[in-house]
Amino acid sequence: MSALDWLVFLGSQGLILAYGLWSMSRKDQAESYLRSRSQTGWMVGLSIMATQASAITFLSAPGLAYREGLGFIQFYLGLPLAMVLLSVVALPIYYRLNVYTAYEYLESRFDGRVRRLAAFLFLTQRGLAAGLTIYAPALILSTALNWDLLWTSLLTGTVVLAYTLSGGSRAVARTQMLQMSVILSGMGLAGWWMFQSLPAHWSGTDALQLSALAGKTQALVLRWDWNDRYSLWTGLIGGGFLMLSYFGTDQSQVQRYLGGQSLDQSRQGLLWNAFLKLPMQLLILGLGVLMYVFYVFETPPLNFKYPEQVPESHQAAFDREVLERRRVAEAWQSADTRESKDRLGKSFKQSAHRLDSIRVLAQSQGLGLGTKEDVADTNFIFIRFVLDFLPVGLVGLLISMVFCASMSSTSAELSALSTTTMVDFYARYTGQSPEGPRALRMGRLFTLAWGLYALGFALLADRLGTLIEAVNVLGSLVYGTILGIFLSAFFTKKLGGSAVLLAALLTEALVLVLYFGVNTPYLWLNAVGALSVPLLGWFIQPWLSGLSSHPSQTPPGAS
Amino acid sequence: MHPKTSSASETMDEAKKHHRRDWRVWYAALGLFWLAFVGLLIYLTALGV
Repeated sequence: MSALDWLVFLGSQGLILAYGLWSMSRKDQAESYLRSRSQTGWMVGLSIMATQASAITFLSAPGLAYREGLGFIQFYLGLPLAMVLLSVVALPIYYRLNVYTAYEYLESRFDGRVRRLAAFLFLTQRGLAAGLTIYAPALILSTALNWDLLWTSLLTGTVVLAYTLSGGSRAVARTQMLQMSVILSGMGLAGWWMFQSLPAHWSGTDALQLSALAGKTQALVLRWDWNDRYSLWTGLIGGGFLMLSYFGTDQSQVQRYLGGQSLDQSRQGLLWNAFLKLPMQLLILGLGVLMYVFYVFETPPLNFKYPEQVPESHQAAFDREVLERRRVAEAWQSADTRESKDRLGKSFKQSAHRLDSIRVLAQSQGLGLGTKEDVADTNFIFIRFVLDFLPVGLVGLLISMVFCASMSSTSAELSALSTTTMVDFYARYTGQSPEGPRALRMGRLFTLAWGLYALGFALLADRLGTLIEAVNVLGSLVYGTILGIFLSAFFTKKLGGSAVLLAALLTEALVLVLYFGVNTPYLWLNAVGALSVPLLGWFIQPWLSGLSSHPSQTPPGAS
Repeated sequence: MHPKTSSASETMDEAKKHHRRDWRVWYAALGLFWLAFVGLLIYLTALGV
């Protein structure tokens, strides 16, 4: 990176860090550390989006679209319905009970054991996921920029820990605004740069049609196949349940929308997310499709992770085919009859297909690097474009964008982990209030502990495949069960704590068997888990009718 | 019932009704938006067929 890039990078990061530290309020400090009830609807919406969109989203998704097209968008199609259900069912309950965490509600509905189980599942999963959100961008940046992985992870982890510790929930919400601005302007400028770099006589329609010829605009898969990773059905059903679970029961999100000034503002926040998430995700994926067209006129590396280390034979064949693809694309664009356009369109498709085959063959042979190296390069495609083509200054902004995205997610996660530990375990068992100076000290201690745990995992994690999927797989292993517990609480009146607890444990075992034993596509696990808990509970309840939980199991001082 | 209390409660009922209607407008708008978005995805998919 040049001096100007460093200036932009350090300047924007310094500004955000300073703002996070400054926003530490002197008044209501303990409460705002755990929960900040100060935001308007659109601020809540932005905060929700910034928490969900981690650096992995911005690094992986354009690369995924560059290779496979727009199909990943289907993953988000169930989101709007999930937002409506949450704003009608869950949100009013959380507000009425005035809870800090979603799991508090489970104790008032069932008992302390169910609350502990759900909070425990959340902590386990989210603690590891926080590690991934630090590790993933650090790995990509360190490989692309030749930085040391250890130091990159430590730098990101330490900065995010510093301002989460200083300002808690409120600092997280405030800094997320600035981070989202950096992220959106970075993506917008990158897209603009790609587009204006296309040959002058190429219009937007030409670019769109060319990408369609290569199959990159295929956004919907309508056939029903259990094994499809992304189709309309996995998106609507599996993805819908995942979104319901993530937004409704994952404290890192619940804490964001409980930060609204009122029930109405929180509800608006959820709905803004429902409106904005799909277009934002389509634009990010669209950036990958545009990048595909951009690379028709530039020579892409055969492998974006190891651009310099491809064997000569593969490289020569690849380079020849790149030139052929470019020649056919130019001829296709300037063709003036329908017949020649169709014929050249077919030739372009064939050339694009041959290019893919050369790449897949080279990668399947490990690029000659030895079998131990992971040569999958989806996560590196976008960052390599940034480093190779963007002008000085913009590179610094884009690197800053990656850090912003990583930190906005990680800080929300650490804040939620700390709040859950504080409210659902510490305050619950010591009988102390989760507010006040002592609670503030404990809250910071928990943030520090979780930060170190996540950082430790980030330093140890390796070889995770496509990172955006790794995070979603990890979530899907427990989200279904947690959602099942909440659905039992919201929609059944007769199920008791013991039946739900047993049903949840059996469901978690079932989900693990389905994923590790039968290799079920991960999005389905959410639906299976969510439906299995109330169904099993319904069968178990009559057997346990004499053993259902008693209020006396709740120790004094429970919140 | 005291007439003043009755009128206050009617006003509150009216306000609640408006409030519910407001949210229904949000939900309906979201539904239409979703349909339009899926329409866009169908168009994009059809481009490549």
